[in-house]
Amino acid sequence: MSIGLRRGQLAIAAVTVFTALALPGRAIEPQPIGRMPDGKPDMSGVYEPDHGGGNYGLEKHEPSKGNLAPGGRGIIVDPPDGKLPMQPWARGEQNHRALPEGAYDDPSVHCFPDGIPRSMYHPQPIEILQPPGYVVFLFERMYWRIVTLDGRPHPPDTTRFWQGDSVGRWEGDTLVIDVANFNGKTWLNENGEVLSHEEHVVERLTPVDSNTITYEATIIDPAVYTRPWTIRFPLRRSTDQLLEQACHEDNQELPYLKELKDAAAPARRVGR
Amino acid sequence: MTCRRRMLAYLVTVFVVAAVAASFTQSVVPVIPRAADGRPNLQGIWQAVGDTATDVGVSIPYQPWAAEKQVSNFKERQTEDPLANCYLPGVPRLMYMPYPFQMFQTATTVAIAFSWSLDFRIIYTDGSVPPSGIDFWLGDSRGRWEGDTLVVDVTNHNDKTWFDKAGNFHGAGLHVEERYTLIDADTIQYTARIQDPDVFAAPWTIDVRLLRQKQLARLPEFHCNAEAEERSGAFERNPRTWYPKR
Repeated sequence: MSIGLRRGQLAIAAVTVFTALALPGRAIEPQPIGRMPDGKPDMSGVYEPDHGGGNYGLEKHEPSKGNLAPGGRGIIVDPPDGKLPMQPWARGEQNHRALPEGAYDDPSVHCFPDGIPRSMYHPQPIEILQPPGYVVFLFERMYWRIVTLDGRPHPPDTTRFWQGDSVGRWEGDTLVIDVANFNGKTWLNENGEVLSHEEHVVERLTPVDSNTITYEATIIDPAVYTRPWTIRFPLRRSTDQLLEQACHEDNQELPYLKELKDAAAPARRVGR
Repeated sequence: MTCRRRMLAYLVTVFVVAAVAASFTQSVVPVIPRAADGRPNLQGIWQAVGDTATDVGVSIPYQPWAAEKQVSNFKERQTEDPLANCYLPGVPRLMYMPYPFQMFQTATTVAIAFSWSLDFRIIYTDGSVPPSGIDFWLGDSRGRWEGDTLVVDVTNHNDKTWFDKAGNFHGAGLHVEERYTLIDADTIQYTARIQDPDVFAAPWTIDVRLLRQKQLARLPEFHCNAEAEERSGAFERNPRTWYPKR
């Protein structure tokens, strides 16, 4: 439950009879965006990404045969054709990863941190906190990202993180986050779309109303792509409390994917 | 000495003693950081002092069967310790492991992000209550301020986590009452009162000091399972994408 919104709701309910119908437990009607004491947008609360199937492929795609992987509406807004501008080697790498025996190598099936931007569209609730000097994202799959707002630079090049280093600033009502210092270990999704340690992301989070944030991320990775590209989708406020997903502790998928990988091992060696 | 001079000496003595006492009191009353709402400000990167994570090091009032179980846990600790599989360490163990964590504070929440496996806790300080019928590896945390101390009730535990590497354990009936008190600007006195009537004959307490990690500008990542799988080869380096080893 988002307490900030509930409080706002109560305040408005005091002056508007209609709003009283939207107290906790019922759908929450959108209100104007909330404000922090310093006037910046208050985005705190729990959200679900309206992810468009990005975790199964960023380009528009049909469900796989047998519906093992869901389809997706395509969330790439630049380039205009909605296609990832992959270098040829990266397309080969992605095709290889997308084979059934490649699924085991997806860091997410091992419950490792998803990196950026995958953390933001992997289907899961996300809690946003705005303590003084920071924006903190807590993800139900049990990993965090911390955005500093004090204007500090990124750490030295040799310091590398699963989640990158996030440096944020406000441009009007938009939170702009510059993310660098990635370790290059994460994938974009189950389709094996590629990122490297040269990845650099510029994210823009713009609240539309009290229930919706437009999320946009431009990915610059000259080791993998021929040009920068951009995704966009909404984050929608949830009335649920963030829970704890014991991803690794209860990982029943991994042994099966290991069997697929091992069974294909001889063929993989010949094919490569 | 005349009566008057004696009285004067007495007054001077009282004054000096009072002045010394006042200055002493002033020097030991710690100046602690405070949040905008006047509460102690716990924000910062912290890490426990000492070796509590290896062995909590206090005499635990186990029930007889539980004392036997702890002995067998200790013997089998290389495989039976939940951390041997990089499972979530539970609370309070996560608070005194030899890894830093960062605390964040808003008017309704205290959140803790841990270097260890990027785990996190959310402590609700808004008067809300735990959900019923759900258990968590890290429990459910509801906090309140008692003066300058943050008091947190941690409930809804499972029975799979330990207190330390020595096999000290609890059941699903665990109730942890944590107390966080800034004793100076850079030190939190952390106390966890442990109750579990199914396992212990009486409540018992873990005391740990948490020190501000001023040398850390940002929270490092240490992902237990990723480190383990990279060591074992289960998670293989991709030379085209991973940052080169230096």
